[in-house]
Amino acid sequence: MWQSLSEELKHHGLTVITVALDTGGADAARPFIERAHATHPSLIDRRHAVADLYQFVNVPNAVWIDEQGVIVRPAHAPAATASMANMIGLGADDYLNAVRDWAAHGTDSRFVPTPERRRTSQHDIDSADVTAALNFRLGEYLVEHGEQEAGRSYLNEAVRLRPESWAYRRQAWAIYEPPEKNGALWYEATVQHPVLPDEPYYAPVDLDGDAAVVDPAQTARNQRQIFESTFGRAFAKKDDAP
Amino acid sequence: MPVTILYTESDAVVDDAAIEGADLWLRLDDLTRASGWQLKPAGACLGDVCVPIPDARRDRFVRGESGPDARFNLAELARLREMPSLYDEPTQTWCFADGASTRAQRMASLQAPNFTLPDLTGKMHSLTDYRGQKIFMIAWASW
Repeated sequence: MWQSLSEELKHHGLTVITVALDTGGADAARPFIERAHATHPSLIDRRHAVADLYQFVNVPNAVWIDEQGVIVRPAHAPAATASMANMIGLGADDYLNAVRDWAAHGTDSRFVPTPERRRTSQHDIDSADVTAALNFRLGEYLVEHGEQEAGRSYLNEAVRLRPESWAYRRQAWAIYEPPEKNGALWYEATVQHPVLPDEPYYAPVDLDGDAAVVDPAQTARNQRQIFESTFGRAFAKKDDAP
Repeated sequence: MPVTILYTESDAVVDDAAIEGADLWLRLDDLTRASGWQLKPAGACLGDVCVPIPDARRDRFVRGESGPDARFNLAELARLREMPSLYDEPTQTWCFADGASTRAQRMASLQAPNFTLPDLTGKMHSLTDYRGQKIFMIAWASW
């Protein structure tokens, strides 16, 4: 998905790096990376270390970093498709065009937020978030080292302490639930019995700093409608997975 | 039974560790291997940063001072540094993480934290390998 953008923008000195947050490691990520014929660095992050460092709570999530190693756009949902753009309140090509503008103009791009806006748009980490990260790290290590059952309570605790982390929740499902149930579990948690009814699944992205303030609960409802019309037929059956 | 220590991003298995309640006593070489911290005259040092060990509580941190019998209490240092920890008794695994204030400071700096991860071939990549480039980094998952 990002391969063509990587090819298009590399003459501007832009490198695309993808990171697979996956306790399943290279085995889980390989088919997707090979299918994309990715030539950019495609990294494997079993521990979700990058998510912890950059505060990614869902996928896809992205960050822009400049030539000096400064974060010029903190964690946000990127949109490579029209449906993803619609969910985060953008027109079909708005996001990719903003990346193109940043690639060409660097920090002078109007799509690079001021340092103050970058700071205020970041999540404020509290002690529950840290305890969640600690539980995820310990649980993931145990799973990775053959102690799957020992890891379960820690991963569940991480999900409980950081309910907005779909990365924790969906990773735990991928480990402990049968693969064919994951879609139905996701649909139930996002649409049928939302775990966070007033929080968007993907926060709206304000590209140039003058987007209208959007009510988060309204965005959450819009995204639920999109999920319902897109996935309802496949996942809505209450008794079991399709 | 060996003790596993997950200290921020690193992990190590230590054969000669003593767990006493909420304390974790390590040989000085294991301390460095597991956490990067070294015991020096200036205190406990991680790279260029040295943290003085409080004189009045030195025995909570250090036993034996030097030689093969010297031990250091990593759990006490973590408490001093306000680093939360978690211990899984059945597997004897300790986990230490940076606290909320350290993380908040790091995020406010807007400096992109470094990391080192493998690609499909096992080749390791660090973010700093790409300094001088704009980096568009995207996280995804198979699940």
